[in-house]
Amino acid sequence: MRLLMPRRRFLIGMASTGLAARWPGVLADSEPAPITRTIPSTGEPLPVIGMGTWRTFNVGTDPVLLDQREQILDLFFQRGGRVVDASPMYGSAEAVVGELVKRLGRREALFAATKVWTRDESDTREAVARSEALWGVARFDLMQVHNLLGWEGHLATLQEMKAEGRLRYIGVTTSHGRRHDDLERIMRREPLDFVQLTYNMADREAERRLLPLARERGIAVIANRPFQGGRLFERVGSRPLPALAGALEIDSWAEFFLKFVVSHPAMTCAIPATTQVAHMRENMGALYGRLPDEMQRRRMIDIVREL
Amino acid sequence: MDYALGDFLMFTPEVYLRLFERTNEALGVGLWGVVAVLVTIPVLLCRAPTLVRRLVAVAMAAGWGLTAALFMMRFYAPINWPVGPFAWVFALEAGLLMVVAARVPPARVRLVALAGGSALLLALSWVTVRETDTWQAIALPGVTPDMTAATTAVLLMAWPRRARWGLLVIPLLWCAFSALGHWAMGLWWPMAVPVTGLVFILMAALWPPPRSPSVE
Repeated sequence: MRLLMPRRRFLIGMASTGLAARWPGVLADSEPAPITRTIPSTGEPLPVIGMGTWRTFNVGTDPVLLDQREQILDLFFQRGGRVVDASPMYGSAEAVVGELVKRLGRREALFAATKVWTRDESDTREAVARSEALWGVARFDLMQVHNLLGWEGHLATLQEMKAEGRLRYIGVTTSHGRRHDDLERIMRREPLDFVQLTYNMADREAERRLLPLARERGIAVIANRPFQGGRLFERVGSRPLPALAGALEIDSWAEFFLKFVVSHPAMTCAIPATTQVAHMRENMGALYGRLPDEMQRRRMIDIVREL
Repeated sequence: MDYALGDFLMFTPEVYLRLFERTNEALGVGLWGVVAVLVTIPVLLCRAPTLVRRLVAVAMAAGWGLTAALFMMRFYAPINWPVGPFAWVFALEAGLLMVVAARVPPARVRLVALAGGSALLLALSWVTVRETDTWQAIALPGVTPDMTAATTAVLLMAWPRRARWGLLVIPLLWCAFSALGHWAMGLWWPMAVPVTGLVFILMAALWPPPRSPSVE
């Protein structure tokens, strides 16, 4: 069973809260800086842990679940998160994120990333406008073509919109390791700011060609399904963390898996999704502390392989 | 890497199970009206004269319409986009039932058959209560789609086969779709409702016609 909060972090948190209450400002400068990576096309830094919304934020208009997701998003921002990724395919997720960001008053912190998801390649501008209305944003930070659906037409229009200043960054996405050959061709041919693909400790095919190509071409990479859709947790079960975790200041398996993903030199950001506040706390732990070096990454792979 | 059935699901079981509570909350005291109608249906089928028994089809039509408008269109479609078109298909079934109400009355049904069918449907209604630990999640026929489809299949056995078959197509499509959804969510107990619905539909398709549409 995963702990809600590691004891060490709980004690530190309690002590910090007491100190902050007694002497406000004492801890203002001691907050560790989140780990960031720069977007190659502009040099803009981004926190390496973002948030996905697939399934988790599709709660419709349910007031109980909206309140609960608000707590998750609030914690995400409090812990230094910025990138929130959604798609029109995810039911009400875009509308829910828009509503909750408004409630929290966090529009300035948000790096809004969504997707165009329609076969109609002439519908790009309308699709972007629909998403803008749902998110309540005037301009998306990142607009991606979802799973390469109608990518040629959509990407051409997105490039125009970026040139017009209507979008900040553009990209394309895949998931589940699908269409990597197509993605590689697009990465070689098109001027992309971002690609999104599946990368985690069990699905590492992207390491062979796509991640080196992203570095070569100066394309930022977002990793979806960093927990392999939760299957990595099933694999570790209730096993304790390995000794290596201590050296990397890792307190949970979630942090272990995420630090592996974001420590790849081509990686810009991972977007785990969750419905639990406690899990969000664990995920955001990966935004701080040390990242593994190449040798430690290899050891991490061996550890998971041996499970 | 490959897709699993669950990868096509866009919402969590938690959100799905909340739909039952939210629909019942939205109905408020109207829920008791639904219960009253559900209690009346066996009485009509058992005792009422032919003309009055036609009201059973009217009640079923109203149930399909209510399910389409409230559970499906208002609450379920926003989180699961294929449900939006399905809600219109439910409205179509309501229309078909109204046609049947006008043209073919159901046969009288024996008390023992009604008691057995009612007990089975009541047990199915309770599955979501068991899953959520709150009676507010009870899944009533005429309010929630799986129970509406399953109950319709049971009731249609009181109609002649030629009137029955056309009305079984939409329940069949829904129960198959819903069973897949439950499978993807890993909601094994609630999956019993659409799966039992499929069994009822098969039974209704094969069930011998009543001796007379108006005489026991």
